[in-house]
This record gives sequence, C-alpha cells and structure tokens, in this order.
Amino acid sequence: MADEKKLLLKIQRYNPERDSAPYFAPYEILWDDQTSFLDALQYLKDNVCPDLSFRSSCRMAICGSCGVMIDGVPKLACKTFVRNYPHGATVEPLANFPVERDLVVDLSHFLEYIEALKPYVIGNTRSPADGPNTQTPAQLARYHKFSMCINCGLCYAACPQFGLNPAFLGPAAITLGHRYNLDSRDYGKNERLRTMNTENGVWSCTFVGYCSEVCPKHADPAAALQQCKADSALNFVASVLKCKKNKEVSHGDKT
Amino acid sequence: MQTLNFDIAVVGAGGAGLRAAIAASETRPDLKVALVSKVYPMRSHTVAAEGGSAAVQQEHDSLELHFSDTVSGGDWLCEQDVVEYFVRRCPHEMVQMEQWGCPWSRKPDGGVAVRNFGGMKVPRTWFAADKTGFHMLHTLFQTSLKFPQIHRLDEHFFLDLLVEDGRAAGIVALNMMEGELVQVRAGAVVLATGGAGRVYRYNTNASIVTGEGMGVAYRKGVALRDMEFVQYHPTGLPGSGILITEASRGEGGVLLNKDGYRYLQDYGLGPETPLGQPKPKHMELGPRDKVSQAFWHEWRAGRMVSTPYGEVSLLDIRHLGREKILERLPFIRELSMQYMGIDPIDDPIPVRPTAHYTMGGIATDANCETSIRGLYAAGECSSVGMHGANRLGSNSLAELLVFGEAAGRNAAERCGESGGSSSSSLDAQAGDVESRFKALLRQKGKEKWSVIRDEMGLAMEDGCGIYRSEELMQKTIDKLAELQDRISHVGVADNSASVFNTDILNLIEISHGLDVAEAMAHSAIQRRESRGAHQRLDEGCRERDDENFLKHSLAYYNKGAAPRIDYGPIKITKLPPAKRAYGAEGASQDEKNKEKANG
Amino acid sequence: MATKRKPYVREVGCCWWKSNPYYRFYMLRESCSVFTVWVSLLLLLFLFSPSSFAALIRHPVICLLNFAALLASLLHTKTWYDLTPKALNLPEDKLAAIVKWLWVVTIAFSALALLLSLL
Repeated sequence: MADEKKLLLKIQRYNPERDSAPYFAPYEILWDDQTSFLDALQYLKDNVCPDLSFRSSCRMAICGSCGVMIDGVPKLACKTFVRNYPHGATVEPLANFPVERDLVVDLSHFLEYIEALKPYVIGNTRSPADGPNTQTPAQLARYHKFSMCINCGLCYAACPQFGLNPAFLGPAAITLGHRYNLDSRDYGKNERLRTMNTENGVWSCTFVGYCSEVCPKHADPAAALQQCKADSALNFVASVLKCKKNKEVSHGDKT
Repeated sequence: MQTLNFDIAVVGAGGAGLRAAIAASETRPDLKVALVSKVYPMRSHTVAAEGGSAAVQQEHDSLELHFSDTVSGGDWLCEQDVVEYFVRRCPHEMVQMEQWGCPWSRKPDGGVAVRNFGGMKVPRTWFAADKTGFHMLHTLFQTSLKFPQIHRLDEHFFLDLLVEDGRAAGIVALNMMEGELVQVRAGAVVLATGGAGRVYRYNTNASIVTGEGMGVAYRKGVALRDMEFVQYHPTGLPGSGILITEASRGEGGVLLNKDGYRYLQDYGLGPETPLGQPKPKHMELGPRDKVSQAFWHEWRAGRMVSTPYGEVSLLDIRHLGREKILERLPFIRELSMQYMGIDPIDDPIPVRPTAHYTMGGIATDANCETSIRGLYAAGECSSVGMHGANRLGSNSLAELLVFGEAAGRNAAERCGESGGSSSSSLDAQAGDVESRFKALLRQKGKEKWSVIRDEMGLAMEDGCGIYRSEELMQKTIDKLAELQDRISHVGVADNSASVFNTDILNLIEISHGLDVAEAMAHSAIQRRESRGAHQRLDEGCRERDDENFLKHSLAYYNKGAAPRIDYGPIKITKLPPAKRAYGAEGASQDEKNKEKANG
Repeated sequence: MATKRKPYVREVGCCWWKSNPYYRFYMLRESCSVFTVWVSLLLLLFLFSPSSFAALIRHPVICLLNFAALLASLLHTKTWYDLTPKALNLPEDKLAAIVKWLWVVTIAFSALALLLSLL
C-alpha cells in the first residue's frame, strides 16, 4: 500500500460458542486511498485477528457477499472506501438478519423467499431447436433494471417492515419475481401474483423507499414493489369481474 | 457425522456446476442431485465474467471458423475432437440460455446481438451488456430452482472425495455454519470448482478461486493437465487487479503506451486499424497471450506509465462516446469510477496484465470423465482439452455451458451402474477425513497462512508470469518447496470455534493452492519451448517445438515430494499445426488457406 | 447432534425510526395523515353544523392548525409525486415529464379552486 495511514474501526464481534451477545471491539487498520472496508477486514484477518469471520468473494461489487452495516448504513464492504470515513467507523453485520458469528448473518430465509417467487421463465414452450425468442430492446428495457439484483440483502437490512415482520417476502425476492412478470418471454405472472398478493407479500410494504436508496446496483426494489401492488390490485379486480362473469355464465347454463 | 444419500454430487455451484445439475435433472428426473458449494451459488466467480460467451450466430460465420480460431488461439495444444464438439454445441447452449431468460443484449429487430472479441475472426460473442457472467449465473441459479430434485448444500466446503474400487462414491464436506462434517454419498461426482488464479498475488479472481477442487482430485491421483498455461488478462486495474473486460476493446477501445502510441502494431498484430473501426484478429483484437506479452516488452523498454500501483498502459475508450459506453460498457465505467476515480468517458483507464485463467486443470476425456470412474470435471477446474495453450476470450463462459451440460448428462447415465459401495468402507474413509480435519484444527506453530499465501503469490508471479526462464522458475520451485514445509507449522488461531470458522478454511485452501502451484511450476520448467501463454526467455526454448512438445503435460501428485510430470498425446482431427499469425500476416495466411481449400 | 449455532436476533424496538434520517423523514411523511384526519373532522363539522364551523374556523389555534395541515399536505403531495412514478414502469425521461405535469395540474386546480371560492 502506498502512503499508509492509520484509522480506528469498531467491529462487532460475536462467537456463539463463547459470547452471550455481540459486542464492539476496536481495531487499528492501515489504509490508503484505494482501501475498501473489505480490504480493511482482510488486513485484520491476515495480521491481527485470524478468527474474524466475514463473507467475501469477488471484491468488485457484483457477487453480493460482503454486505455489512457501516456506521449503521447497509453497504457492500468492497465498494465502500475507508477514505470517506476519516474519523473511523463502526462495522456491524447486516441488520434485520440473525447474527451467526461476527459479520456473518443467516440468509436462509432470504433464499427461501427468492425461491417462493418462482424466478424463472414459466409457460414458454419453445425449445432450443426453435431458435431464440424475439425480444426488442424496448421489451428488454421493461425489466432490465430489475434483473440487476445481486442478492446481497442490503435492501432487507434497510427495510423496517422486514425487521418488524421477518415473514415479509421482502424487496429483493419480489423484485426478482417482478423481473420475470415483465419479461416478454414469460407467462407465469398470475402464478407469481398468488404469492405476491398476500399479507406477507407486497402488502407488507409501506413504501419507506430506503431499499432503493441503499441498493448498490440501482435495481430499484421500491419501484418493483409499487408496480407489483398495482398489478396485484388489477389482478384482484380482474378476478372479481371474471368470477361475476363466470357466475352469470353458469346461471345461463341452468336456465 | 451426518450421512446424506444422493445419486449425483455436483461440487461447485458456478456456471458449470449449475448447468451440470440442471442437465442431470433433465436427463433423469428421478435422480437426486446434491449441489454443494462453499458459497451461495450467486457468489461464484462466474458472476465476475463480463464480456460475453461465444457461439456461431451470424450468416457469414461458420463452425469451421470458430473451430480454427480456437485451435490456432490455443497454439495447437487443443484436443480437436473436443473443440469440434464444443463449437457445435455452443449455439444450442446459448439459445437454451435465452429461453431460460438470460437478458442477452438485442439488435433493434429483437434478434440477439453479437460483438467482436480477441482472436475471433467474426463477431460471435453473445453478451448481456458487460455483465454477461452475472446474468448467466443468475439465470442458471434461478432456473435451477425449478428442479425440486436439486438439493443445494450452500456454504458446504469440499474437503475430500470418497473413492471405492477406483469409482467415485461421494464426497465429504464441512457444513460451514454448523462446523460439522457431512458425508455425501453419490454414484457419480461432478467437480465444477473453478480455477486457481489466487495462487498468484495479482489477479482478476474472486477470493474464493483458490483451487482446492483441483487439489483434492490431484491428491487422489488424478492428473492435472497443461498446468503451465496460465492466462494473463491484458487489462486489469492496477492495485486491485479488477477485470476490465476485453469487450472494451471488442467495442473499439485501444491500448496506448505513455507516448499515446498504439504499441500493439509493433508486436505482430498490426497494421494499425483506424480508431473506432476494430478489425477481427488485428491490434487490440489480438489474443490475450500476445497482447499481454506486448505489454511486457513495452514495460521493459520503459514506455509504460508509472503510477503508485506499478507501471500501466492506458485503455482508451473515449472515442466510443458517452452513449455507447453507457449502453455497452456501463459496469466498466462504474468499476473505473469506483476503484480508480476515473470516468472512462473523459479519461483513459490505467490497466496492466494480471493473472486471470488456468487453461489447464483436472484431466478428463472428451466426456468430461476423469481417470476415476464416475468422477467428472467441467469448467475452469477441468482440462477437457479445448483451450490448449491459450484460451480465447468468451470461450470460457461457453465452455461452462457446453461441458457443464455434458458432465451432468454423462454423470446421470453413469451414476446408476455403481457396484454398491460398502457402507462401512465409506464410513471409514469419511472418518479418516474427519480425524485429519480435527488434527489440522489443533495444529500449532508460528507460521501464518496469510504470509504463506503472499509469498506463494509473489513466487508464482516471479517464476511463472508472462515470461519465464529456467533460473526464475527454479527459484519459484524452491520457494514452493520451502512453503510446503512451512505450511505444516501454521498455527490455527481459531482452534476452538465450529461456527463459520474461516481461519481453518483459509489454511486448507492455501495448502491445496500450494500443490496446484507446484504442478504449474514443475509443468512449466519441464516444457522446454514457448507456446501460447507459456513463453520462455532462455536459450533454445524461445520457439514452439512441435517435434518434442506437441503434447499435453500431466502432473501427478507425489506426497511430500515434487510432482511427477508425464506427457500425453494431442488429438488432431483436421487442422494440422501451422504458424500462429495475427494482424496482416494472419490475414494473408487465411487468404492462402482459402485458395488452397478452393483450388 | 447438538448444534453449536446460537443465532443472535437483534430486537427491533419501537423507536427504530429514530436512528436514521431516512426513517425519520418517512415517519414525518406518514404523520401527515394526522392532519388529513383533522381536516376531515373539520369538514364533517361543516356538513352537520355550518354555524359552529364558521365560529370555530376563526379561532387562532384552529388557524394555526389549518396552516400546519396545509404544510403537511404540501409535503405529502411532494413526496407522493416524487414516489408515485415508481409505480409506473416507464423510461426515466418520461417519468420526469409526468411529475412535472402532475405539479402543473395541481397548481392549476388549486388556483381554480381558490378563484371559485373567492368569487
């Protein structure tokens, strides 16, 4: 590292086999203008406390492993630079998730919610022999932003409704479902709306909007949620009308 | 220890692993497939691939052209029947990805767009802006959720293989969250564990790309093939090594030295092409080995730009204009701004070559099966023989699909024929793994794995970098031997914790990394020629030597000693070895070949 | 086999919103609804007893309350217009135009209502 400087970080530590509750411990790091918080954590693991646990992989803000709270704000450690915190900072595990150890949280519910939204193409019968679907750039643009989610979980840490109700499917999972709803190649929207249009689905969202604010990939989950609410409402109206119509038809049959 | 029974165990959940799991499930829907990975699937390194994935798509392109680009790009060290299969399957796989929802970039008419890539004669690289790997990985992961028979074992660290009577019988993994070992029994095992770029200090790879998948197979007696061929990507960010995609050159970006001169024209890639009109296989669209080697020469001649993070060349994409950069290369812009503080719309990006890809890997046959029956390998961890001595950009994402599919399908057919391994024998093997693991946890000593990792990375850069020599390689070999000794004196600090103990896992990764690095260095020193990514500076080794070295190297593990290096034959089907030429010389060679074919 | 895991769940207290300026603004936005209730009550009073409404409306405290309600509804309108376009999946430039038009219509309508009430 060129031109090294020192800085104090307070890092939340927790060893479930030893500690009854998490606590903050101070650590001094060396840094320069390129040093990210992930570099700082790795520096500590290499040189100071090999028993510090955190997740990391790509270190270029695309794999979504290293989400943590920095000064109380959900951030990717690899994309947040020490140079912007000249007076030091606190580093905690992502909010709203159970803490397993140090900066590692339990993401299993998040993964289940992603799965519940069926984020894959449904009802398209084309096979590779038929060649690719046609999709114009405008059709691509309709869902493209929502396909940028890296599943880092920052939006869940930012969402007070998820904090208060961990059964809420949450921003990223619903965004992913919505991404497929908007894809011109997909026909599974009604199937997904059955999961979305529920109390723990889109209606748990009160549009705080902080999820979009912290999203490192600008996938705008808050927008996806609002669009899903509109879709859910329209779907409800449509199903009521259809139900009425069906009733009339069945009446007609009888007479 | 928990025992889980599956039909197939896929280790690694990146592009190849996911594709294998899906293929196995589609081939035999009644099978139970375990998908084991030390990270959640979307954290796998496939996510970081940017530029695109190759498949013949345009009218004026052909499978023959993709074949000859790949074979000549690999400096004739490819298995040609494998390459033939590969180029034939690429279009199918890319269309399959499209139908699974991959958001490929499109032409105005709604067809799939393709772009230029280095060493490719015709634009044939499918792309999703400059996040192709990300979109492919997520599409595969999301599609895998459709299959209830795929059981993910997320955050399970692969410790060892179970082998019974020369047949793969399962694996042993560490459940990282619980800190407990799990025995996963299966009739066939697919390794899709990725490369080993992290044995170099300065690299484009994620911190998880540590090579233990290769290492485990190697210790079990499977050969690591062509390990001396390690690709340096010409454009990584100085300091971090973060990848700046070849697509930035495919779209028309140029490389400059400190005088603003497009130096590639002096290294067999010229003549200079007009700005904004990139020409296939010329200048910046040369293959990666040649472009990185040109950097080395310019750097030695003192014509590179000095920065606090080393000497760099300049990648200039300003002339593409704001709109095109935002449409085609938005991630490159984001990375440059975030990590370098440079907006490539206004300034050139400082770049330098950085270790990127292991062409070699676990030796397999054309069906992706290794020398252990029922053990398959696919993706970067494998050497199915398609990249030869140098991989072309955009062939590796395609490889994940084509050979991930093949490995999964073949494993599904193989897994049923197991002779019924004896349960007690597998338990004994797993018990042995457990006692070794527990012993390692208790290991005491003054050494640190972080120090060993850094010294290994430096040694590999010094001895097995872009240019190599006998003397430097020998130094690296000696250093690695020393580190092999020292790693047994690493003290495990986190010796009591079970839950998410990454201290012990780092140590295991590095110990496998050391084995892989030794395989690389020994394969390199014994290949007394220059070919593809293996370039030597010492007397008598500066040229390609088909007479003695048109063959695969095979490194075999030798416990406590240097690896044994053996050689295996190359399969040549239709393209006999010729001079590998690019730029004007390559173009005239192509003309002559065409005339010959017509006459 | 007993697990060694002991996941620590951090409780979300009732004052969760105090910690973050974004949350505080959200609570402010949501609390605008209190004033909407107030104005609705006032209108109900007008409906059932116009005379007492006329007497009440001149009281300085009520004036102050109504002024606060005006500010609150303006704030709510702004946040509403800023956020509503998110519910529409349209290109960015179109969204900006829609927000502009929403304001134009709001101001025009308010001016018209004011004009009619003064006539």
